[in-house]
Amino acid sequence: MQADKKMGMGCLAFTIIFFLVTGTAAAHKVTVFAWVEGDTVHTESKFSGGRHAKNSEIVVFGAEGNELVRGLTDDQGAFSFKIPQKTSLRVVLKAGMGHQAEWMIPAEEVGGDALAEQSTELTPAAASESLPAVKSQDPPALTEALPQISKADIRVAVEVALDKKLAPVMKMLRASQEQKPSLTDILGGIGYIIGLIGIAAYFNSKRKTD
Amino acid sequence: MHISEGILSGPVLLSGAAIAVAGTSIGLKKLDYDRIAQAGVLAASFFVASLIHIPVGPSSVHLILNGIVGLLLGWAAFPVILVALILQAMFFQFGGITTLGVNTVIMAAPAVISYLLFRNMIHKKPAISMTAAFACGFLSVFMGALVVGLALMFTEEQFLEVSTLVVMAHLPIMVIEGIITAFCMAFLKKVQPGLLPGIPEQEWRPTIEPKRESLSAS
Repeated sequence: MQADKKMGMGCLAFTIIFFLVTGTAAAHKVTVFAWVEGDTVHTESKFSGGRHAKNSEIVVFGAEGNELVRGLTDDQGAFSFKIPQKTSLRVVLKAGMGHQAEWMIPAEEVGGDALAEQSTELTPAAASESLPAVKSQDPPALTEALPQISKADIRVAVEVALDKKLAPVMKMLRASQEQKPSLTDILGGIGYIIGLIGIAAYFNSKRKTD
Repeated sequence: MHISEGILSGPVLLSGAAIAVAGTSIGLKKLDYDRIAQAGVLAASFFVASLIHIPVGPSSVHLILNGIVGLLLGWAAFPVILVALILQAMFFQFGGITTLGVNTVIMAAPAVISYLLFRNMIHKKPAISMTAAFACGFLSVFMGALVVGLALMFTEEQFLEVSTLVVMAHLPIMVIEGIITAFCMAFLKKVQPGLLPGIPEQEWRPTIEPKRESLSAS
């Protein structure tokens, strides 16, 4: 009988481990990640496990909790929108069936001051072209041209360059957003359960000796 | 089948928590001390089963195993599932702490209902018991989907719409869980029938303590 019991438990454990190894060990939650590029906010939504959250609703709220933008994600789980308001933005993903996730974009990232307004006036393409043109001029001409380049122009140019340079970093960040439950998590949880059994067994044995 | 945080309204969360607390206290009272180890093994199975995941439609679904937990534990499914859900929320970020009560009801209430419906049928002829076990696994998920629809009904979504969506998404899981439950039941019936509900001790354990039994009989 004891051997039977052990066999039963063994079979159960084997089944679980078998499924864990063969099945795609993926989570049951959604994540949304949003980042600012120029005057546009890009969002990317996925179920952890890598599946894109297609056709899911994205709702964007402003600092006061007012709804600003609403839209659906495409086949890649992506959705982009123009910055509607220069405050912090809360991007909420509603993937249906009780799945929801959100991402905060702080006001600094959106550019919640005058500089951001300038950047919307000056298109990124124009800004990036204006600088090389200045450099190619002769030194005397450069000094003459310098006063014409306002601080705002430089700021915009730097921002565009930074956006470009940071794109791969953002991509990496996006990828790292997806956290699969690790073996440590799984074993930790099982450890807790064994601990609880231990506590119950302790009280049981105390009850029996009393 | 876990509902994320920030979707449900306060009253839904509160009533979910209240039902979960009531169910857990009944379950703890009914949980036999000698079945603690079994409860633990099932809690661990439930905890890990949520990682076995099948991509369906726009969402993703995973094994739940609430049918088998209910069939083997009855009311004790409530505390077992609650513990497993707390750990899932902590370690996997499934569901959330505020939705613990609602999620417990979603998965444990159908488990208990299936237990009450099918506990006697699994001792009948193999054909009937297999069907009952399959139905137990199948219906536990099905009813869970209905409770999800019920919980979401009070937010902005339509009950019928959401329920249909959740049921459709979980159809493969229902079938798989039905098969798993049926096989587990058949296996346990052969090797360890004492784990199944409703069997009197002496019917399956006469060989262990024959002396004491013969004494009490005489």
